[in-house]
Amino acid sequence: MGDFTRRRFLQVTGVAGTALAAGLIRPSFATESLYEAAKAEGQLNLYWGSYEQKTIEGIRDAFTKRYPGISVNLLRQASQTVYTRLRLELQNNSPNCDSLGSTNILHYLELKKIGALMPFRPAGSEFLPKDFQRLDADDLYHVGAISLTAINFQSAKVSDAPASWEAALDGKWADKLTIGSPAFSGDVSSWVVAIRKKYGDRYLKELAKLDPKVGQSNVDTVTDILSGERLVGLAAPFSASLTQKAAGNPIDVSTPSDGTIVNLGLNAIPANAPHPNAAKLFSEFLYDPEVSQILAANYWPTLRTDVPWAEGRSLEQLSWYRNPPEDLVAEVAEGIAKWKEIIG
Amino acid sequence: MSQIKISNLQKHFGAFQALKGIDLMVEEGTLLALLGPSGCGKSTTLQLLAGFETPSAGEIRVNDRLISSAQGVVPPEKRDISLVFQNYAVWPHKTVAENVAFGLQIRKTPRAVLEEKLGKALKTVHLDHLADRYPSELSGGQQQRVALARALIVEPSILLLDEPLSNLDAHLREEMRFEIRQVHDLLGLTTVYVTHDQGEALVTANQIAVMNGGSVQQLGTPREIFERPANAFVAAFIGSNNVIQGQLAREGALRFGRTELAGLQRGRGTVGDPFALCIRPSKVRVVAPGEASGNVLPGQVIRTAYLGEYCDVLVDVGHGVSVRAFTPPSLDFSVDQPVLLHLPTEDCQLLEPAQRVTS
Amino acid sequence: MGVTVHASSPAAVADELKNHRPWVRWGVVSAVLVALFFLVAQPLGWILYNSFHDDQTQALTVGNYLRLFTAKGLLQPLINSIVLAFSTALLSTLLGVPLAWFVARTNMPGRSWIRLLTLAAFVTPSFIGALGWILLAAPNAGWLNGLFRAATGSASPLMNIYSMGGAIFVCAIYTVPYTFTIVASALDEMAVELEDAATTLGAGVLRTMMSVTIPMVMPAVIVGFILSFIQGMTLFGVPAFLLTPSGTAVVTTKLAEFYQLFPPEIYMAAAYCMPLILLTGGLFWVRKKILGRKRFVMIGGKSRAGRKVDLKAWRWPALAFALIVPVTAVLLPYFALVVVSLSKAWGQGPSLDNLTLHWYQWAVLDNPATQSAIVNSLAYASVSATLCVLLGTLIAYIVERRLVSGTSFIASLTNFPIIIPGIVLSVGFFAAYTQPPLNLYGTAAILVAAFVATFLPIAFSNGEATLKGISPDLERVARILGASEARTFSSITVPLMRSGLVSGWLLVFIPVMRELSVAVFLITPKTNVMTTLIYNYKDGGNYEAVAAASVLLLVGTMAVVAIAQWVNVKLARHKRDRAEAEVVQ
Repeated sequence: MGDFTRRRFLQVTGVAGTALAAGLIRPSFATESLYEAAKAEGQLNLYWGSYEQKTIEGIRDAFTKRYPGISVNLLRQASQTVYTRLRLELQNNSPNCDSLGSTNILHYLELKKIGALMPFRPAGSEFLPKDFQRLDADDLYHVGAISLTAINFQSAKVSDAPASWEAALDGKWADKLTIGSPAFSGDVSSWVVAIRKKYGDRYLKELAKLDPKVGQSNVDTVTDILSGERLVGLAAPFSASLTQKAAGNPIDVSTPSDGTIVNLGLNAIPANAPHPNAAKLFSEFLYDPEVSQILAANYWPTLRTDVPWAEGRSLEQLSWYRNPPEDLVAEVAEGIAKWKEIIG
Repeated sequence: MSQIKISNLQKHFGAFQALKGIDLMVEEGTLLALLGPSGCGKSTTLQLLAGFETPSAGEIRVNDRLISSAQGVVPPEKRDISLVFQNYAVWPHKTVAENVAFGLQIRKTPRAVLEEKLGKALKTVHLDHLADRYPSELSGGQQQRVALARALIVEPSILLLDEPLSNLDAHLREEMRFEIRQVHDLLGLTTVYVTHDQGEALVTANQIAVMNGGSVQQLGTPREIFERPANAFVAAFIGSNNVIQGQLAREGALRFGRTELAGLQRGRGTVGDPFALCIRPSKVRVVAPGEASGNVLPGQVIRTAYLGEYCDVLVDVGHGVSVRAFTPPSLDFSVDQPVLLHLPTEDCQLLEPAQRVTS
Repeated sequence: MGVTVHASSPAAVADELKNHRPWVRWGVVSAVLVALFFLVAQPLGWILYNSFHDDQTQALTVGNYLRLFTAKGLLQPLINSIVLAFSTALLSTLLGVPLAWFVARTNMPGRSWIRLLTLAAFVTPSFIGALGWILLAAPNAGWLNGLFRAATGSASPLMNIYSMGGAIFVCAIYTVPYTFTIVASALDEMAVELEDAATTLGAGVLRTMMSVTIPMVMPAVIVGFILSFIQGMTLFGVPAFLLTPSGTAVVTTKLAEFYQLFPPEIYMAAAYCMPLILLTGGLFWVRKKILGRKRFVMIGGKSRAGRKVDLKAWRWPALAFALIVPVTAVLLPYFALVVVSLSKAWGQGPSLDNLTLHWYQWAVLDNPATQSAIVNSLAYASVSATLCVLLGTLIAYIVERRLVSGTSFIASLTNFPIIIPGIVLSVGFFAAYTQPPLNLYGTAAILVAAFVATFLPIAFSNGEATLKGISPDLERVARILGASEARTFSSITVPLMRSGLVSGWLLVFIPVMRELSVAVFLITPKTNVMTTLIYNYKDGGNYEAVAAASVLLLVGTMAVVAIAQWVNVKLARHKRDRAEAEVVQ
């Protein structure tokens, strides 16, 4: 009854569009019918590599609460793994994935090339930061996560954390740096591509002289700092570091003035998704204020410009840089080769 | 009660021919000993009899029922044959009673009958007081008796014994020989007994098949085998005969170097054929020069051992041949001492050299 | 009379023998071969097929193999892996074999505790062990290094875990349980008389072990060595954590790169595993050479006593040695992990106001994902271990008792999966089990099938080692007494293998519990397991959750291990007690 009245109210007043645009009233009529179709499908299989377990579980729980009747199966694995899984499903013709959330845009470019994605423009994507809207002209994929790569440091022992990538090359950081490996971490390889574009191989050579500890994932920098093994982390995860800070650990983040690296997590619906409507509903839900609030609570950049980040931070305050996807395959390969040659 | 007929039985393991076609007939109630050195094929024969192996050629029949041929075998459990293993194969996870009762349980024997038979079987082998023990607490002889009781309780028509005494102490072995003989005589079971010990075979068997190199060298009663060996191999294997290899000089004489040695010719051959003279050490006599005429070989003492009842003297008679002689203990020899050996003609048997003897 | 004549005619003869064809044997053998084909041959076939295809174009090619030898940086990881694996196997044998002897054959104090703790080492996923050791022995912040510096005033650390030596050490202490368990269960079954003869001289304890006991359990020692070698070859966590900082790549970390890169080089990864298959083949060949035609029958129907060798004054040095693995693989790293798991923020270090039980409460009570993952892990591991031991034992029986020809082919096929790193296997299983007739995708069955296939070599090798110790005469005597082959297997062979079967079950159960990569492309949200979850928390940097979940994984697995051991001991004691009671009378 309540739903009916509200829907009628919206129809009658004709403000639905406006209200939706303002994000004030939900669900819209369009969303309602999508929900009905999704409920008929009953299931949603999320393959997500963006966001860590806790955050993505939070988003899933909010979705389930908002849209009862759809059972969400969340497969949270590394981006490369969920992508490979989707490729295996395509290859063996056993479609299962409804929504692919990977941090690597190359996955989407490849899937687009082989025609494996379903076009859909989710309502609400216009609340994304302008630069990140309509990333694909054909609406095959959209931004589902904004991930920042910055500098982290031991806040109890370091008072003068490097304010830029350049500053981290100061001799006083010798034997005190930690970094992940571009061969294992997509974020670190993005960083290597960006840093070589800006400073060339000189940067890697000088970094090598400081003898940084090379871990595997970029999260290993957090571990090294918390354990006290090293003091400053390069190519470090912004959100994971702030989460640890909030838990009471002596760690903080410095956003380099010569460009915090932005890496976008994407979201797309495979063309043969078994539950396409549920997937569409989820895609739209990502731009719901509630999701952005969950993101903020977990120290992630929000997907809506009108929902502020944690600690009062925002994209505007940052000097940021994002690798353009063109030629990225070759640049990554070259970056890793150079890294191995120079750093080992 | 069964009769076993083995015809042209052959078994190959890859390129190795373990049995080269043996023929044996074991009459009902007989205790046949398969006697021979290791690798002679006696164990393979037993495995074939038990049904664990399939012959490469030939067949085995029991009471005219074909149980083994190259086309297939009746499986062990369907043969009505029992086997006592060399290592007893007493199950360590079962008590004495459980071991012995196993065959009856398999046959779904009613409980009361089972109990009765079990009690009787244990009593027969003097194990009734140890029924609930585990094998690890038994002596070797006791385990042996468990194995025997376990094999007999199912009342098989044929009993196979695979070197049943070889793991026992010397004195126990003596005792068990007679016990096995006794059990056989009591039950009258057709029994095949594999052994490498001629003493065991002589004591227990009514029939002995001497085997070597995958074939039967001689089949006969213990007395026949001992007194009238069919060839030099049998002679050497039974009774530790001395074997002097040479050529047939003429009917009833062997040429050994320049000497001609006379004896009873038992093998067939033409003059010049390789031939062997066999004589038991107890028949060889050490003589003074001129004490005997003919069949005398000069030699040198290699070693001598005083054994109380007699002396065991080993004498080199040249051409790489040495001859053992058991001499009265009163005589004393020293190493390298030249001696003359007399080989009494009536104790010398001229035999064909061992046929098909493989190294 | 007519009947007799008829019975001897050739046709009737053939019929008579035909009636006795071993149908049961053929049925079981066929079933086993079919299972082996679907479970093992098919996924391996896909991996082989993949290795001959190009990742980009999907075209048939030998390019992957050419690249293996020509491309820069692909041979070195293989060599590094061999060095790591061989050293791991050597160290794990040197630690594990004496340990097994002390525990199984002597009166060293604390034997059952050592046994339990050594199994606990086995339960630990290697990446968690590596993590614990990073906390303990990282050059700057490692607690042990801190203690060392404080005690000696030295500026340099006692040890640097980020080194080949460190990786070998950590790999070895976590693979010792393989050698230990296999050798110990062989020793459990061995007759004691020979040892008795040798130990009448008190000083000869070590000598007794080296010259009498160990040679008798050589098949088990060699199997243990090979399994440790394979572990050293296929472990990912330890080299990834400990060798990446020194820039040393091994096969598994290189494979991770193939999968991490874009586009992922899945087919190249398959080709990269093929040298490992050759290597393992070589190992099994060497094993055959060493063991040769020697017989190692220990249960021959003669006595098997439960008596222990008296170590006298050597008891305490023995205990000190026996404590190496429990202390380094369990007590120290889990101490570190427990401290972390009880922290609000572990970066603050241990202190009273940093203490919380939050993470345990979260994992056990609040988080449904952890709850279902614990249940799933236990369920899959139990079912997989049971099926795996069943199949592995049957295969071992077929091979060891030569029920069919071509047993060496069956043996090698069974042995292959274990050498292929999990992530590559996972792709093979995906291809094999998502198509008819085995369309298992998305179900729990696909995980069970993958686990059974992956760990079949362990169940098989363990079964083989156990069977080698049981004289075939014990089975033959049952046959001759009238038992069929099937009845003989169930009432003679299986009871005699009991101890070996229980240890085989544990040797499969535990690795399934801690396996990470094989499941990677096969799990679904509903069939998620503990290790994937733990890895995800690690991925998110949530080390308190990682530590708490690891401790729970250990506790859960140890509970099952304890139950299994208890059942085993109970079964054994049931008989021995009765036997011993008799002796007292």
